[in-house]
Amino acid sequence: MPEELQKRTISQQLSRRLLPVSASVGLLIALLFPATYYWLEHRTLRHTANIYAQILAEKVERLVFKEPELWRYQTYKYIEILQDFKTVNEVTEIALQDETGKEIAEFSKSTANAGKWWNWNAPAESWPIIYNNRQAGTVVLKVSERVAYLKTAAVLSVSLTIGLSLALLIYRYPLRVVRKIEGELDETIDKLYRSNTDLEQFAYIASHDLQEPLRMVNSYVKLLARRYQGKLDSDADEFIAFAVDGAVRMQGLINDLLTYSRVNTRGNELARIDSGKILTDVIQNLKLAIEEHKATITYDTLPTVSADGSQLGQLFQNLIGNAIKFHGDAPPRVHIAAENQGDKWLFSVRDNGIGIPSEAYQRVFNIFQRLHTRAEYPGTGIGLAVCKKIVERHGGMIWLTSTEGSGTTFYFTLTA
Amino acid sequence: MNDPYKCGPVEILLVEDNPGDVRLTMEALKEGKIYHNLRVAGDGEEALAQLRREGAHAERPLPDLILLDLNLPKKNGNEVLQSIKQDEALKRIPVVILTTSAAEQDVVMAYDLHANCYITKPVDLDQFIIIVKSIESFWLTVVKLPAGIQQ
Repeated sequence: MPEELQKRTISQQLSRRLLPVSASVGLLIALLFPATYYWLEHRTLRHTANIYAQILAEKVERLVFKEPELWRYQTYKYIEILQDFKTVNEVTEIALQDETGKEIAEFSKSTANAGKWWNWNAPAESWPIIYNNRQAGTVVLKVSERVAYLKTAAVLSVSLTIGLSLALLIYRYPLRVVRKIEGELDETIDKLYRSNTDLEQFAYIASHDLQEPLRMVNSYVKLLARRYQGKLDSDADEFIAFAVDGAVRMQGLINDLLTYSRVNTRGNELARIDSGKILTDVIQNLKLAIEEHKATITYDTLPTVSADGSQLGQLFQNLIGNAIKFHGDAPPRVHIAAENQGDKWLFSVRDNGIGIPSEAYQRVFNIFQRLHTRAEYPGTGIGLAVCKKIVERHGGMIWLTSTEGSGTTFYFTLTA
Repeated sequence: MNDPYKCGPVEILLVEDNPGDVRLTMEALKEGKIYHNLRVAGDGEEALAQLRREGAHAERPLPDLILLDLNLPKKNGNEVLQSIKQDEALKRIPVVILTTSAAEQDVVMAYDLHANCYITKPVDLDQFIIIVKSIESFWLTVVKLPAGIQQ
């Protein structure tokens, strides 16, 4: 069983799911911050350029106001105005255009900025020069983004570090926690498995080794009965009879315990099996009981399931056998059906027997649990415990519903 | 029985360590009709010593039938069986495995080692008596065995 248990699967699954999450969170943080930062810088720069262009335009406007016709030829005057802005760091280029858009003057702070990659998106803001409600010219102002890019690069390096560490943290921390939990879980599973195996081993050995002395008790008590029945007094006969009865019953219990422990230790591999075929075999086996009680067994078409054939047979036999055994006044009628539930089949065994009180729905599956005296119904109370163990070995569930006096339906699930 | 000129009792060797089972087998044989002489070996080594007529067993005749339990002290039943079947002087003696084990691998192993038949001891006394009687009648009266095992 432990090798069947897929250990470490939770952390593997978690790792698969965490990887894209942590990578995207890390990348998002690493790239979103610098991108936002650049966008803000760019906007501020445009805003600055706009304001400078506006101030310049206003200054030129005053010039135009004084000399509406001649201003454009007064080179020294507007050059003076434009010169003031050469000291502003960000500004790289200033141009003055007339009303037709023709360039009158242009200043470039240095050629170092021209055509450089960091200026591909450099904002160029213009502001109109208004005179007499007419546009007399335009001021065009270009600013450099060099510093903005430098700052963005710095932000990028920091956010990359943060993003990457965050991604690692997101990926590794939950895994570490889960691995620790898994470790504990594995230990618990191992312990549970060991104790379960021990218990089964114990049950098997106990019942197996108990057979031997019991056979002695049984045989010699019987030998006593054989040789001395009727030769001693009536008390002796009675005592011998009780001893024989006890030994026989103990034999039955031990055999049942063996059957029970063998469900897991002596089971066959699960295979694709036609449950309908198994059922017809079982009905054949139960022929005597069916005839004796005038029972009617009906069944739907049953599916192919993944099961251990002999155990599935035992399961059907115990359930149908019980349905016949615990019959009411009417002759027993038993119906077996199966209903598809996706990857599972829900089997039902319905009878019209005496029913089971609701407080015993769980209890009936306990080993050696009996609801009746041996005089009412014989048996050790192993049948349903074996059923439960068989169904559980197949990875299914078993339960029942019942109405006292009118019948019981047992349900169990098997993998399709 | 196999030797028409031999009139003594049939020799049966029972290899069984549990005195309870020894007594039961004796009782069951007593109910049978065949005149026999039962000898008992309590473990595997003693059984082989008797069969090879070592020491105190030198004067004993060889058995006509061996009833062999599998679970024995010192040397287990399979080892005893193997030694018997590999011994030229002993291999013709029918060996009936009479044990509580019904395990498939025990059955296969016994036949692989040339056991003559394998019987699981019934739990029920009446059944046990019937089986011992039938072993006795089958192997000592029905079956034709080669003459001269005793040589």
